[in-house]
Amino acid sequence: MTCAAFKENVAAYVLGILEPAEREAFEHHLAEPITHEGCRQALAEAYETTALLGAALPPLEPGPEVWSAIEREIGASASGARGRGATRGGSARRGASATRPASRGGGRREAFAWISAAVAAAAAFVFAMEYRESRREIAARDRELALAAAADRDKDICMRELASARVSLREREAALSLLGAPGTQLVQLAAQGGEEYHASALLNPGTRNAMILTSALKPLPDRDYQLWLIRGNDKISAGVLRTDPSGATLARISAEVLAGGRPDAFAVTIEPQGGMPQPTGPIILLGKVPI
Amino acid sequence: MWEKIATPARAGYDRRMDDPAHAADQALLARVSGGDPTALRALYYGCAGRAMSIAFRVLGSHSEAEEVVQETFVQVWRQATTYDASRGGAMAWIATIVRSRALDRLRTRSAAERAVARSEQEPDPPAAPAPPELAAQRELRAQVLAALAALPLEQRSAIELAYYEGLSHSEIAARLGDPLGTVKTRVRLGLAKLASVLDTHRPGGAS
Repeated sequence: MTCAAFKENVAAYVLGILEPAEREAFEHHLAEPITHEGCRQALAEAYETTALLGAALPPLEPGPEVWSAIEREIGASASGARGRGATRGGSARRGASATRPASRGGGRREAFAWISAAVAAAAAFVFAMEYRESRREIAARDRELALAAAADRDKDICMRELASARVSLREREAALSLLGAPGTQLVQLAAQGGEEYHASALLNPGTRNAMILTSALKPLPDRDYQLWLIRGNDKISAGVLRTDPSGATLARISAEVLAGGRPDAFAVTIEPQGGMPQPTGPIILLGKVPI
Repeated sequence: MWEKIATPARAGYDRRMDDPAHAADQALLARVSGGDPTALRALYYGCAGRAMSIAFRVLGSHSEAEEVVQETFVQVWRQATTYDASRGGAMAWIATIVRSRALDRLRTRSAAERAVARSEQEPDPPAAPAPPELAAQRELRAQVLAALAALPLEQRSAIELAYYEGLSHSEIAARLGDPLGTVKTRVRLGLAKLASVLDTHRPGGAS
C-alpha cells in the first residue's frame, strides 16, 4: 500500500468498517519502516473527525455514582500518591460519620439491658436528653454533609469548565493545582440577569492565591467586564476580564488585591472600556464567599 | 492589579495539534499516566459527557452506557502510559475506547435482543439530569450538527451505521441495498466533509 492510498482510506480504517484483510494491510503499512508521507498525522486527524460524531449527540451526563465507582476502582489498584488522592474528598468524610450513630445506638441498647426497673424512669429521662443531643448532632452532621456535597458539586462544575475552556496549559495547570491545594475555597458566581453567564472563583486565603474562571461572557463591542472583590462596604477592583471569543477566561487575581483579607463576595459588572475605579454598571455575576 | 496570566494564542488554533486545549488534554493524560487522580478527574469532567452520549447512542440503555463509561475511564487510567498521539487527542482517544467497548457489548447481544433494543430504546434517562451545556460545547455541537445536516442523506446514514452500529462496508451495503463501491465512496466523502468542520470550529480557524 502507498502512503497516498493509506491516507485516502484512513477514515474507513478508523471507523472499523474495513474487511479483515484490508485492515491488516493498513496496519502493515503503518508499521512499515519507511519515510511516511504524514500517515500518522492523517490517522490522528481521522480519529479526531470520527470523535466529532459524538459531539452532535444530545448532551448526557453519567450519574454521580459513576465517578465514585471509578475512584474506588483506581483507588484499589493504585498505591502511594494514587491511593491518597483517590480516597480524598466527600466520600471518605461520609463514610466516617456514617458509622458513628450506629455505635452510639449500640451502646445505648447495652446500657438499657443492665439497668433495673427502679431506675428506668431516670434512665428514660437521661435517654431523652441524650436523644435530643444526638438529634442536634445528627442535624449538625447533615448540614456538614450537605455542605460537603455542595462543595463536591461546585468542584465538579469548576472541573468541567476548566476542561472545556480554551486556555493555555500553564493556566490550566495553575488552576488545577490551586483547586487541589488544601484550604482552597470554590465560590460559584451566579448570573444576576437573564443571561447564561457563569464564573467560578478559586480562593485560597492562606496562601493569598485566587483565580477566576468564566464561561459565556461574550465579548462586548465597547464595554468591558470588570471583576470586584467586596469586603464590607468596600468594592475593590480586581481588573477587567479579557475573554476569548467563546466567552471564557481564566485569570489570576493579584496578591495585592487579596492583601486586605478574605473578601465577602466576588462580583462582575459591565463597565465602560478599560474599567472604572468604582462599579457603575449592572452586576451580572455575584458569588458570596462561604465563611 | 489584575494579572492575566496568558492569552490564548489565536494563531495556535489553526492546526488542532497546536490547540492549547488540545495540548492541555495531552498534559492531563501525561499526568494520568504518572498516577495523578486529579488529572483523571479533570479529564473525566471534560470528556465523560460525550462518552456517555456515544455509549447511550450505541446501546440504547442508560445503565449499560454508565457501565461502559466507567470501564472506559478505568482503562484510560491503566493504559495512559501506552497512549500515543496517532490516536488523536485525549477526547478522540476516549471516544474510540468508549465506542469500541459499547460496540463489543452490542455484539454480545443476540440478534433478537438487538432488534428489540433498536425498536424500543429506553426512554429518557431517569436520574442525572443533563447539566447546563457549556457555551463551547453548545457551539461545537451546533457546528457538527450543521455539518451532518449538510451531508446527503445516504452519506450520513452510511457513516452513522458504521459509527454507531459497527457495521462493515459490506454489511452497510447489504443494509442499504447499495453497491459496495458506492458505500465506500459515500463514507469517504462524508467523513472528508466532516473533517472540514474540525478546521473551522476553533476560534481563529478558517471559519
